[in-house]
This record gives sequence, structure tokens and C-alpha cells, in this order.
Amino acid sequence: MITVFVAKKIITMTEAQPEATAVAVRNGIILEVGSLDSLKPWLEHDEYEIVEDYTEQVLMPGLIDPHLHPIMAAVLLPMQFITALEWKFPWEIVPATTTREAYLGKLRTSHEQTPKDEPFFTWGYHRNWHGEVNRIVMDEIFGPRPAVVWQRSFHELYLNTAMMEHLGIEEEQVKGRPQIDYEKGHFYENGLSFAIGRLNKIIMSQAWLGKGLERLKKVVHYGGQTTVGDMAVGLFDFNLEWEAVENIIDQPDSPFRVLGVPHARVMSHINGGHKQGVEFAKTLPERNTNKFRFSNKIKLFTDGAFFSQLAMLKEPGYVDGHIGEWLTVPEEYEVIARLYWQAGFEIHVHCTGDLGLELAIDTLEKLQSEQPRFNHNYTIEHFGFSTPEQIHRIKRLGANVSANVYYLHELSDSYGHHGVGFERASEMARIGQCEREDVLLSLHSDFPMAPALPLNSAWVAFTRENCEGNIVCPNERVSLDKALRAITIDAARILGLDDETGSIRAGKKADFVVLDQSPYDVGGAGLKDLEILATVFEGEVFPISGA
Amino acid sequence: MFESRAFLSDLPVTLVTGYLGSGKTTYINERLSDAHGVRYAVMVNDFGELNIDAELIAASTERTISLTNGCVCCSLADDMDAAMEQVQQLAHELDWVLFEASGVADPERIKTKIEARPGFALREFLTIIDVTRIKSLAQDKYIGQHIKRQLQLTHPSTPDSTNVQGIEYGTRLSKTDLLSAAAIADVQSWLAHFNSNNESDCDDARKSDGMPRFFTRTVEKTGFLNRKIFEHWLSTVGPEIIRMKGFVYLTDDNMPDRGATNRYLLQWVSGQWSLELFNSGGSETDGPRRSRLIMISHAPIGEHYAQH
Repeated sequence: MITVFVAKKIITMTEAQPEATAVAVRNGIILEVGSLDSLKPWLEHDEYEIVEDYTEQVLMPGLIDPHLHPIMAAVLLPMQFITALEWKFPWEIVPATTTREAYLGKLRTSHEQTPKDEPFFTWGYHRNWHGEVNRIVMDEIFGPRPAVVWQRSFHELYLNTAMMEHLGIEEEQVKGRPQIDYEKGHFYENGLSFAIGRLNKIIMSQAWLGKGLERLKKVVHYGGQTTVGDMAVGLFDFNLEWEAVENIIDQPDSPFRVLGVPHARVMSHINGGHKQGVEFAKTLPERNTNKFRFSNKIKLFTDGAFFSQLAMLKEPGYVDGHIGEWLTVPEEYEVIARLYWQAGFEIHVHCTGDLGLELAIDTLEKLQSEQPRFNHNYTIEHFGFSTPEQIHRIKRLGANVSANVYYLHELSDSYGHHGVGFERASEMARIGQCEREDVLLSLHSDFPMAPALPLNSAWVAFTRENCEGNIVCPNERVSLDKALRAITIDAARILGLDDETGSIRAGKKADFVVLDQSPYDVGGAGLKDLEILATVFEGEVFPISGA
Repeated sequence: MFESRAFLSDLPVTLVTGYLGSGKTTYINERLSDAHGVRYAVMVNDFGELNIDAELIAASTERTISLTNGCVCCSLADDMDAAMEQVQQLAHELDWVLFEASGVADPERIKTKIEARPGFALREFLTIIDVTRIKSLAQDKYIGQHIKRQLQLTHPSTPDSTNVQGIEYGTRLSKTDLLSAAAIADVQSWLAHFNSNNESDCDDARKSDGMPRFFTRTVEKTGFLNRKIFEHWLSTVGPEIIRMKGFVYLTDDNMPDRGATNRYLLQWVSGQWSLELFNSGGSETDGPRRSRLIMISHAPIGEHYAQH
């Protein structure tokens, strides 16, 4: 049985036949893309049905986010979102809450609307908009119900008295500790990790994660994605993550596949050494299913978190003189990278600062001279700060870039004022040069660090408009075509799944996203406002409710 | 001096920093093999490198190895918080923590991290310096900034900074057998530059000897002790004792009954102490009442403590 999808326009993302109007699908595989007329040889040989629901709409390849973190997302998603920026979710659109009054009002109504016998968690609080919200304020609202107010950056939270009692946090344990304010119930930075250690019994429980992953499924679908990369399996607990993803995501109702890229450090730890880690990583694909798989990819890390200003910078560093952090000792990075390189793995390396990037590039250059490889897919992940000279080297060494452009949207203004000065802040995510030098580029969200909305990421890459409404470093914008490739075919190439998905051509999986208009018609500035009506995963239609 | 934020029950921590291969593990192994009754929690990045005699292993899990002498080795395994939580659970059975910082940890940051952690108090900060590599490491493209930061912190520029927070700073030179005396002197004078604001050199001389060694003495007694007499004895303990910890069986006037409810945990830090009723270990209270205290000092501990 053949299913034929007919559309106003089909954007194939292939160079040979960029546009079409009909695509025939059997057993989840594309038979041919063209027109109803050109499909005739197939239709004469088999029964067929024509799907005419989308004759006024536009089909594109299913979108791809090659780098997000399902388990981190699962921790966050069960919480009540009350934030200063609007968040679009399939189950609700969370409007921006920008005043203290409105914030406290939302806390009260959310408290009323959620089951009182469960602890209350909210995420998205920010002092600049919502004023001070501390234990005293929370006690008044929540009374005996344990409650947590989590700050937008994840780096601080407030507990009410009932939650402190629930977690067994006593005054004499924490009073006077740096980064903990007992009176206000405030835990931040190192104090935060103490609080999280206690909260884990709630937010890392099967019930909580299950709810979170169910929501993640909806989020991924809502963004029009049919393929995502879990870019560090083992971040919290390798076996727990594998089980959770297998039990909840690897199900018939999930309209997408997950490529798991294991965390190299975790491979080493659970197997007692780097060499053993490599051997173990080689065996992971044996357990693959269609929707959750491993391949020959591995995730490594150089420098610290971009959001915490722990990226390692070359001269002249940070304005205030602080230094960043190595997540892997540079000598050890080289040792681990060499083992995986020699074993034929494709290395994906988290780099946030230009010095972190330098280590990744220097190491690649060394490995290339020791044992040259083509098509190695060594990929720079995140790509915060870089220099123009580094992009030349990336090109010559054959590496790829997977960029989190949301850094530039959210942080280019504040990092100009408080961080690295305006020249370098405006040039974060140097993707325009990647296009000029023809470096393979994908865009990712690192969700939950940024919204899992690829069209939104492509909009940022095209416009370079930040959250203040300013266009930052317009010379580093990319073309509309590069931006769209970066969330479809080029993202598939970076995940090594380009033979299977990422474009619409005979032989690939029938993964589509249905849009109200063509992105080429609305132009790059209109990308974020395109409406996603449905996705098609391996030939099966998954409508987006509410669309 | 002792600050209000620290509590008697806090586990004292020795933070050992230094680049890869500088000798952190060697140092930790020395302290472990020379434990003299001190029950250490050793927190290291990789316990493969510790010299743990298989016969000494009482139990092990993926992340911890318990030794028969009461010490515990705990793998940091990228998750310092989980490791500290684990050690904290065992705190009443431990006396001291040896914490190995990763080769490129920012010492300030890791120091803050330990200080912020309920249940732990940073008492010693030791940097181990490989004399054969330190000068080139300080120029290294990737880690030069961190190495310099480590050296600056270990050679605090204000003379008082060693004491303000009750933290003892020290450095230890390793691989000195590989260099000539002149070359070592050259490294030492180079190291002194990190201390440029400090006029006094004698301080450095003391610090560059490395951490003072521990001296310990275990005091044991079978049967009940009278609380008043015991408290009097505590008041005679001299300032050279930096820490004392253990379980004691006490009787006092309010509690003449010699039931199973008078086992106390003594926590003693620099002259301040607390006694907390501690009856969780049921089996111990059934056996002979044996009080046992360990005293820890940087100076030899007099015989007289054991005689009372």
C-alpha cells in the first residue's frame, strides 16, 4: 500500500530537485518525490491512497536538533513555568510574566490549580522582573505545602519552610555557609548543589522523570522534529537514562528517533579506564532499536559552561580577570581523543570558549598527522567564542560545527556589558564565516538550555537579533538556505544519519514537517512565526494539536 | 581562628592540589599508610592509582572502597556533590578528609565549594609542585593560567591569610631527586615571585616544607567514665591538639542508670567541644563499654593524655 502526500509545495532540501508537489511513501520509505503525474509508474504497480489534507500547505524534511539533553529536560518539564519570556508548549503557551504583582498572582493560582498533596515546583523566576521572592513570601503563599522556586538560569533556588523540613535541612547544618541564606531559604552556586542533592529524591524519581519525558516527547514533536541527538548519554546516570529513554521514548506514540552519543568520561568510569570505556562504547549499538540507537559517536568536553562564564578564553580573557574552567585536563583530553580516534569513532566535543576550541583543534591536528582520516565528522559542539583564524583551521582539518546560536540571542548584550566586552560578545557563534568557508554547520538548542524550536534557531542564525532587539554582528549572519540546511540535511550529516533522513528523496525515511507557508516565501525573518501543523515520521502522520 | 560557620561536627578537609603527575597520589598514599588510627575519607579522581592492599579491603562498591582500618576511599568520578554526600553519610565514623583536586581545578573555586558544603571544613591546603615541570607548566598555553593561580593561592600575598579562615597553607616539592641542588634553588627562587607582596621569607621556609605531619594518639578505656571527671579532663587538653573525636560511655549524676542509653559522640575542635547522645549502633552497646578517642595534632602528643 502506497501513501501519496500532495502539497502546495514540497521543499526537498536536495540540490537536484529542490521543489516538488507530491511524494509517495511505502512502509515508511520514500519511493519517489515529484508530481502526481511523475509518480505514476509506482501507482500503477500497487494500491495507493492520496492524503489531501495538506494541499494548501508546505512539506519539508522533518527537522533535526542534533544536540539536546532528554534527562535534563525531564527534570525541568514537570515544573510550573512562570517566566519573563514567553514559552510555547504544546500543552500551554506560557505568557510572559514581567511584574512582581503578576508573578505572585501566578504563584497563587498555580498553587491552587495543582494537587496540594504534591510538592510545588516552579521554574523561571528572575529578580529583575519579579522582585525578591524568598522563604517568607513563599511560606505565606504555600503554607504547609513544600515548595521550590527555581531561578531562570538554574543556578539558584528558594525553598519554603515546609520543603526544608521535608528535605531534613536544619538551621545548624547550613547557617552561615557561603552561598546559602537560611533565613531566606536561598541556595545558589555551591549551596545549590547541596540543595539539589536533597531534592534528587523527588526530581530524579521514576515518577518525576516519567512525567518529564512524556512532556519532552510533546516538546520535540511540537518543534517539528523527527530526529534528535542525546548529546551526552550518562550525564546523570547511564543505565537510568538508557532505561528511561527506552521505556518512555522508544514507544509507538513517539514521532521521532533519538541518536544517543555516550559521554566518554562516563564510559571510562563505569568500565574502570579509558581503554575499557572505548571497548564498551563499541558494544552499545548491539542494543539498538529503531527509535533509540547508538552509533560510532562519542562525546568529549573541553571547557566549562558558557552560561556560567566558565568558558576558557584566550587573551584578553574576561573583563573582570576571572578565569574559566577545564572540564577535562588538556593532556587527558588528548589521550582520550586519541583512543577514540584510533578506534574509528566520530568525536563530538563540547567547546564554549576560544581556548577550549583551540585545544580541540590542536588535538585534531595532531591526530590527523598521526593517523589521517577522511570523513571523520569531528564536530565542535556549542561554539561560543572563536577567532576567524580558528575557522580556517576547522575548515582545513575537515571538522564540523554544531552551534548553539541561542547564546547570541540571550547573552550577547549582557556579556558585552558584563563579561568579555562588545567586540567578542557580538561575534559569539561565528557562523557567517562557517558559511563563507563552507564548513558543515548544524544548529542546536541544547534544550533545556534554549527552546527546542529549530525554526527559532534558524531565525536567530539568519537575523542575529538578540533578546534586546538589536542585530549583533550582521556580517556573521548566515543565508536562509544555510540556516535551513543546518536544521535538516546538514544536521543529519553531522549525526551521520544523512543516508536515512534530512532531505526528501527516493530511499530515505518519510520524515516530514508540515508548515503553513514556505520558509523561502516568508524569508528568514519570518521563520520563527511559521506554523507547524503536523509531522510525519516514517510515513505516519502526527498532527500537532492546537495548531 | 575558628569561625562561627564551622561546626564541631564538620569533617576537617585537607585539599591536595597539583598538576597531573606531580605526586598527589603519592602524598595521599603516604598519609594513608601512616594513618595511626586516623580514619580518613580519601576522595580521589581515580582509585586505581591508590596503593590499596587487597587484604585491607573490607567492602567495595562502584564508587567507594571501605578499608578494614576504618578509612574509606571515594571516587569523585565527575560528581563531587554525590561523593561529598556519600562521605557525609559516614561522617560520624570518620575523622579527616583528604581531597584530591583535579589537576586543573581552580583552587579558589574548589575551596569555595568545600567551604560552602555543610558538614565539611577546609583546614589544610597543600599544593604539590613537580620541580622538573613547574616552570614550563606555568607557560603552558592551556593551563598556564591555572598553574599560576594555584601558586598564587598557595603563597598568599597577605601574611595573615593563612590564619584568617583557619586554613593552613603549604607546598611540597616533588621529584627533587631529578634535579641538581642549584636547579632546585632556581625553582625555589622562581616560586618566591608568586609571593611578591610578602616581605617575610621565613614564612615561606616554613611552608615549603610541605604540610606538617600528623601526630595521633588513641585513648581507650573500658567501662563507664564519670562525666564530671571526663569534662575536667577535656579542659586539660592543650592547644596543640587540633582535633579529637570518638565515642565515650559516660555516667552522670542525672543518669545513674547504666542502661544502653549513655554512649556519646565527642567532637573536639581547637578547644571547643560537644557531647551528643549517640545510640544508633546497637551492637556496640551490648558489648563491653569501650570508650575510644583519637587525638590529632601537628606536634607530638604527650604520654600523659593516655594516663587518665
